[in-house]
Amino acid sequence: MSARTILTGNTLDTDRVLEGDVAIIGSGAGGAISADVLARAGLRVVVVEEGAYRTPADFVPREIPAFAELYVEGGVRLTRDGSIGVVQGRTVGGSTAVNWTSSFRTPEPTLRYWREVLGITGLSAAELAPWFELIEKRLHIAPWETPNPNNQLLARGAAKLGWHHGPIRRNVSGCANLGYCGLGCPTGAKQSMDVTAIPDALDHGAVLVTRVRADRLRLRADRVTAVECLALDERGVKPTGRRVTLRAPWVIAAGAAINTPGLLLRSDVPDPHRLVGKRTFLQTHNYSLAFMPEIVDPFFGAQQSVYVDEFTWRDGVDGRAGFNMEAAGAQPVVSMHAWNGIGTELADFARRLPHLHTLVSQIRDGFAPDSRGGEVRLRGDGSPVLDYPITDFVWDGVRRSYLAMAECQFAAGAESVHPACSDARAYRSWAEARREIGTLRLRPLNVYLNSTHPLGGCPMGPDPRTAVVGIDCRHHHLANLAVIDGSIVPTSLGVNPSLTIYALAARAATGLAERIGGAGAAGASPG
Amino acid sequence: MDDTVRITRRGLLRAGLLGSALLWAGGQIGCGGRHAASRPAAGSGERQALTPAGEAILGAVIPVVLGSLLPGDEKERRRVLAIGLDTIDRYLAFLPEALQREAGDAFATLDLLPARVLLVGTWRPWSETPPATVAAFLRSARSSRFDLVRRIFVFLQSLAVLAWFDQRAAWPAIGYPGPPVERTSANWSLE
Ligand SMILES: Cc1cc2nc3c(=O)[nH]c(=O)nc-3n(C[C@H](O)[C@H](O)[C@H](O)COP(=O)(O)OP(=O)(O)OC[C@H]3O[C@@H](n4cnc5c(N)ncnc54)[C@H](O)[C@@H]3O)c2cc1C
Repeated sequence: MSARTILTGNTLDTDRVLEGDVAIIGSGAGGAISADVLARAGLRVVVVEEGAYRTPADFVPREIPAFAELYVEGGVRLTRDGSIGVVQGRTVGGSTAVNWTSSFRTPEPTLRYWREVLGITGLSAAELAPWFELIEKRLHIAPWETPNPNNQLLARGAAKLGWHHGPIRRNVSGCANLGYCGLGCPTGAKQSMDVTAIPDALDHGAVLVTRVRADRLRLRADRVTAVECLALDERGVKPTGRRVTLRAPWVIAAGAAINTPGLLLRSDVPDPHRLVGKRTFLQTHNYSLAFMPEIVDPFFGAQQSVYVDEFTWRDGVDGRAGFNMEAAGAQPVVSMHAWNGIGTELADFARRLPHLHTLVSQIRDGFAPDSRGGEVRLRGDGSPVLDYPITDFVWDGVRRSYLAMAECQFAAGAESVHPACSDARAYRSWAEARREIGTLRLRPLNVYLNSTHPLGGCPMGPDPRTAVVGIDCRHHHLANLAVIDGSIVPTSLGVNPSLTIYALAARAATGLAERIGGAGAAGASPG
Repeated sequence: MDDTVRITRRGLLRAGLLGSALLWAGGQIGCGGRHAASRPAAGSGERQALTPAGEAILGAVIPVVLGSLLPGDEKERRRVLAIGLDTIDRYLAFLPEALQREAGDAFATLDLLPARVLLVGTWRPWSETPPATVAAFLRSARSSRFDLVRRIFVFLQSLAVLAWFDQRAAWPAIGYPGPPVERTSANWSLE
């Protein structure tokens, strides 16, 4: 084990040129797994990351500091019309450092759709199984057997209604069940990239540069010749004026959905079929709030440990919108954020926080012909913004998931249920909720919507007319660029995405290591 | 019936005018006005991102959104409101510069007389607008038929939530015992 090499962009006082075998942009799920695999294969890896490097002891279990410091755009990266808040991490470890640890393999129907409709071969459940096993072992992924009241109530409602549900597996080791995953795990139990793959990559000689933003890929003919980066100030906001240039024969873009397409658009990467940034999916989340007679204390305990997939595939893979259901209890700001109360209404609501039960539904997009997701565009300053029109397809999913969540909450014993929509009110019974939600007015901004699962924008696939990268994640038009992050996922998934991204990254990076031929390149292969 | 029609018409008229006013104001701010309008409050030496207009508007909006959750005691109330504004300022300071400017522009526009008259229905500056008037504005903005107006509402309401619920003073009333681990921070007071 050699000494770890970490440079902090905000303290650089000269421009720097860094060389290596592989330059990786972003240290989240895709970037960190890639860095680890490639560094273990003996390759010289340089990782640049916009966020700062925090250890578990640095994480402050307070909401506003965490959102400001660890998230992209304060945790609420609004879509262009302001109607959906996209939630992404911006710290070493990326979104994995702040995610809620729910771990699912890619569902069969999704993989089948990729194969049958998108022509993606080599990614069947059986072919991916060894990669899933590798990651599951590595990140201690196991079912969580002690659900908090929020999740127990979800299981109770689902069981009463005979809906299919089960325990969620989580990537934790020695978890104290605090429930502060979203603020950075203060005990280091969460097996996020900042405490697993990144330190391991560093121990295998990788170099990490924090508080540096990859601004452009410099191109010549069909190659990326350099990655031009801007050093940022201590908050990661203003460029300090110092530049960092990465030179490497291979470049991996791993800045996540929205940011990676943004980087490719800014760099004028060849895109003859105008695909970059399009087909960005959100698996839009909508929320149902209930008050239970018992104490729920939604702010404590692992946030998600029970899933309901009764409605995810019920209407066929490409039929009307399918959605899953999970619990979404959290600390006060997040709990109160879903509902736009004023004055007395807000105060009455807030005073009952210990009884609040929150469910979230995630509306699967990207499968039905009329579900084409959104498009990443560039603002005047070159930063990306997602234009995601809320189509009738999505609204129908919102309405039916409001109904299902309300039914579940009443079945679990709720005294009242309130869809997170300021045109709705609290309903006292399932009969009333069914009647009212059936005709509830649904319009942008009044329906609280967000997404922690942006995916796509650089979809993988065999055909350059419909995909930006191949199934091996290599760019279709640039010979030495790969994209390895959530942006390659060609549809939403129907489940939380981290495990899919980890497995695809392990597979793609191992393939790349073999191609580049580092010493012991096969060392990362599973089995 | 009569009433609804009248309100709707007036609403429509207002929003139509408002749209033009905002466009006009945005243009003004965009071409040169921005620097004066969107710079952080000069007097309060430590402000990093929150502008004087933002401070005045939030000073009027936050107490109305939070209502009886805020302490009754005047001194304590002032203390927690000051913490709330500090929190918003720090939070904004971590946003990309383009978004900090957008927030500054939004506040500057809302602080202009046409916006106050058309949206809030008063000639008075925000700091002198009675809470009942602010409450009426927030309610009508929330249910406005215009996306832009509802967007303004969501922006203001969520800043009020952000200013309050992460404060220790907020927790007893809402039954939150606070985090199980205590940490300190160089950037935040964590009160
Ligand atoms: C609050 C939250 C909860 C979640 N909960 C779950 C969950 O329970 N289960 C689950 O499966 N998934 C969950 N997710 C989603 C999951 O974590 C993400 O899908 C996954 O981490 C995405 O991986 P990625 O590699 O695409 O990007 P990320 O992990 O987001 O990493 C991208 C990194 O790249 C950096 N970057 C971007 N652009 C640049 C640039 N130009 N220069 C330098 N650096 C750059 C970013 O700062 C970031 O650190 C959650 C996400 C969030 C935000």
